[in-house]
Amino acid sequence: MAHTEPPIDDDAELVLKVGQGDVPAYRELVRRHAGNLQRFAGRLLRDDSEAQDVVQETFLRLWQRAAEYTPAARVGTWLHRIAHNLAVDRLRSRGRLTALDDDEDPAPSSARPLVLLDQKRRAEALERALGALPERQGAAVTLVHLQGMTGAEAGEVLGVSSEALESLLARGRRKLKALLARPENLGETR
Amino acid sequence: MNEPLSIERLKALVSAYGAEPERFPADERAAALLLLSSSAEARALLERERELDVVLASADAPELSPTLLRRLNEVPVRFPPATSRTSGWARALTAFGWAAAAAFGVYWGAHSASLEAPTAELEIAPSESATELGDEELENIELALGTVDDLSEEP
Repeated sequence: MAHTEPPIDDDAELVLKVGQGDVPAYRELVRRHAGNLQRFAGRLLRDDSEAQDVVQETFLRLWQRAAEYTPAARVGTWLHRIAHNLAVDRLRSRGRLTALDDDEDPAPSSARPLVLLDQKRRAEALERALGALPERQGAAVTLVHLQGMTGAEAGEVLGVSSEALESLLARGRRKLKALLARPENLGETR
Repeated sequence: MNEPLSIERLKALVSAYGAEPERFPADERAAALLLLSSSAEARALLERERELDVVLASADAPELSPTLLRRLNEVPVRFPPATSRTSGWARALTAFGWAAAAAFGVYWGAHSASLEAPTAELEIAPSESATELGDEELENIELALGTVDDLSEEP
């Protein structure tokens, strides 16, 4: 799950080719990054259709502006940053941005019982819990713990300092533990 | 040499990044490992977060929607490569050229109209070529962003 991003040089080389109109290089970048971008945008927007629009617009920008790419950041980070900005624009236009982190920290809890479940049910419970996190916490946890970005990269994507990123991650993890310990996630309602 | 790491700082790191020190910021990792090697309290902090790491590792790999994949593959087909291959300077010069032509047209139209035509008979007709260019640009963007939805519904 973690550290799935390909090496920087390989990706950057593909972007250079895309800048010259190379369609196979573009499609290879789609293959490598579109899934992660879709999950990330979905976490922020909580709407599959809107998330797909954001990913499409991100790759349209890649296709149009690949020639402007400078390898200051990894390609995956650059693409996530574009997707983040597009998603935030959508949230802002709907007046949803102010509520991004409007939550109360739940009481600390343990995810221990959940590790006893089988992989499939664990994954389903995790997906539900991630979907219940405030958007930016969910996005931070997704970038660092599911997609293997470093804290610095995730901070760059989300446009926050390393301290703010750590706060998002810590609150996100604390809330995840509480959510995962709920009876419905442990199959106790059946 | 790295500064020693306090137990409080390690607690903050573990709360954010979990029990795998390779996720910690690179400049604090060595000090964290040093503290972990010498402190049972530090190791206990790590153990408390390990269960959540196990659950997070259960996440399914992201699955790209087939509809989205088709839409993404249509982008290079639908969007004219010529536009994307033009350099920023060339685009700026082109835009400046059109703007200058449009400004000259407006000036010439207004000036000649005031000299040659009664105001009541004056019709403002936009430049045909400029209109076509705008429409083409809009159509390209719509094709790439909007009507691709239609394409996605094709069998």
